[in-house]
Amino acid sequence: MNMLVCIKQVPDTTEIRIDPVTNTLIRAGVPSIVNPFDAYALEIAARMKDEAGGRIVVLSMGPPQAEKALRECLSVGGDKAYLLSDRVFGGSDTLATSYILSQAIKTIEIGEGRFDVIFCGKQAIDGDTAQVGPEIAEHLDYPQVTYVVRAALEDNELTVRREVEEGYEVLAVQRPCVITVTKTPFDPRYASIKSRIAASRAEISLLTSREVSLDVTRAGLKGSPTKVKKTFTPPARKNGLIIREGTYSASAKKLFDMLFTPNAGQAR
Amino acid sequence: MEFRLNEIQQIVQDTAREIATKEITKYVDEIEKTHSVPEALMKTIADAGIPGIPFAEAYGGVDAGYIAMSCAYEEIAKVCPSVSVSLLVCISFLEAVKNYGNEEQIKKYVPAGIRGEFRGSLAFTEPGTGSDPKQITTTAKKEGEYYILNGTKRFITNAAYSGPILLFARDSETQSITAFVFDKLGEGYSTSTPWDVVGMRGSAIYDVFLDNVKVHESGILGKPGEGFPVLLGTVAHSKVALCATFVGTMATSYALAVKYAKEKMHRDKPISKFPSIQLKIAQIAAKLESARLLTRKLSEESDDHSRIEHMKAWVGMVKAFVSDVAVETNLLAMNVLGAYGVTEEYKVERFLRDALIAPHIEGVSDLQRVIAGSYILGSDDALV
Repeated sequence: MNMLVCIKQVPDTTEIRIDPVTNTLIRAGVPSIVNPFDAYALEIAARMKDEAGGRIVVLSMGPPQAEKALRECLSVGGDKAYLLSDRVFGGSDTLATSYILSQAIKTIEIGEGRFDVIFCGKQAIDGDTAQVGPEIAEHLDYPQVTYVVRAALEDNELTVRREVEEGYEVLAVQRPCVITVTKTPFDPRYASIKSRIAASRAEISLLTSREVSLDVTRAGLKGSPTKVKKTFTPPARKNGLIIREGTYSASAKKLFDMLFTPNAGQAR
Repeated sequence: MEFRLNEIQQIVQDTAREIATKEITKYVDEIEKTHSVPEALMKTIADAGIPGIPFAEAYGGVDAGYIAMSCAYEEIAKVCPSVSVSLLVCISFLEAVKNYGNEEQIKKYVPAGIRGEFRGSLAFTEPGTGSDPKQITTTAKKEGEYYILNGTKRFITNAAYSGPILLFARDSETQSITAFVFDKLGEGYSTSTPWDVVGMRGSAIYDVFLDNVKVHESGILGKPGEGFPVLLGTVAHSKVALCATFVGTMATSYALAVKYAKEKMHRDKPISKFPSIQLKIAQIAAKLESARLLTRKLSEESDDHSRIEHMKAWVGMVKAFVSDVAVETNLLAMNVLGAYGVTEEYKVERFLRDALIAPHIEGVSDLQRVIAGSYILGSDDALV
């Protein structure tokens, strides 16, 4: 199996602070990590490599500092890393990002061979759009499965377990395909001292707009139809009210009274 | 002169910190209650490569040296000093085999030990002696190719776990001390229940009873009758590891005291604004940092086994110093937290209890100073 895992370096917090003037994320002072869902995606790929063999290429689009995140990935299963970095890519929304990534994947495939599976985290914890993975699949015209928690090669058939609201779906997927991964029932592996040392010495290949064949009008701010009008932290909701009377009908009556009697809730 | 960690040492420290803060921390309560470090945790530590830090790559190690090893002990001890002690005994056993064993013994024990396949032990102390090898009463009687061991060893870490033990016994014929390596839990080998102790409760210590334990002569480490240098060299290394462990206890109590001082309000001001608190924090910081630097200097000495004689004196002096300041700093941290400091919830009490054993194990502090002092006064090498 030839696998590619797309990863993003994100601030290490789920409580992103937003600059109220510029409406952008305040990253200063916040340490960076590999997006947790991407780490789960890499772990699924690494487990497949452990079981069935193969190779894992890791790709990230971001500033030069994202090299650190790529090295972390190399220490936990990645075999080769590519950093996609260019000023032209700055300000890309999900459409532009997924376009650039899909074009980069085609470029990387020239040297690395066709990827059987392209893994992505279901979403990045800083933007939370969950759009880039599916859009890569659309750009490449590949089948896609989202919210995957397990993947295995059984009799040369790729079988995935997908989380849905009612439970799980188990699907067989044609290759090549794009798989987005949600929180897995297992934790990503720890890097060992030796794997970290090897990763620190590994060469990271840099890809810019010169190496990747793309239409620059579809990249960066210019290529991004999304215009962010406002970003804000929603006010915290108050605790809900639980109605638990002695019987269901008494609870229903209480709810009815509260809905249709002014101030009944406060009187409670 | 370089006080900063190099890249490899930094990687080792990061790895140990990640394992400690994400994995060991999950087990702390269990370890304290059950007086044992779970197998699964020891496996995770081994998988991360931590037991192999000071050993050559040819044996599966990392070859990163003893400063790196000390960094790892410190990071682990910051979360659970008992884990560090269980581990350092395993690694000290491997160091003894590496330094004094033959190639066959090294190949038999070092790679498997690095992989975490067993828990090694060291056994010198007896009911009648802790620091004086002349008082050893455990006997080894030669019968053909075998030695028959009889006696009791006291306060032995990891003694009830499967794996090898390095044990010192007196040859019945020559009356000299020989170092033996053999597998625990075999015929004639038994242990007491764990001792109830004030600290390091997760790393249980036992008495070991030897009732006609048969050890093949190939199990002698070094030469027959030459166990004394093996003992001194081995405990010199384990003392370095203990120093790093106690530095870990200080570092956490220091961090807890600083955090508390910034958060605890008195008359609308954090207590960090009070000179009495500032004074204690500065004392803790200075003692912690001096203990850490001395430990790292000593760790550097450990990298060169040819300087073991010099190191034996250094290690006694440093171990005594670090032990004393470990108790002092943990107590000062407890003082900063006031009444909360003595509660389990605020954690300092556990680190203080763990630190309390420092001056009393692996050579009591006073004797360590006597050893260092007599070395300084009896040689031209003034140590400092």
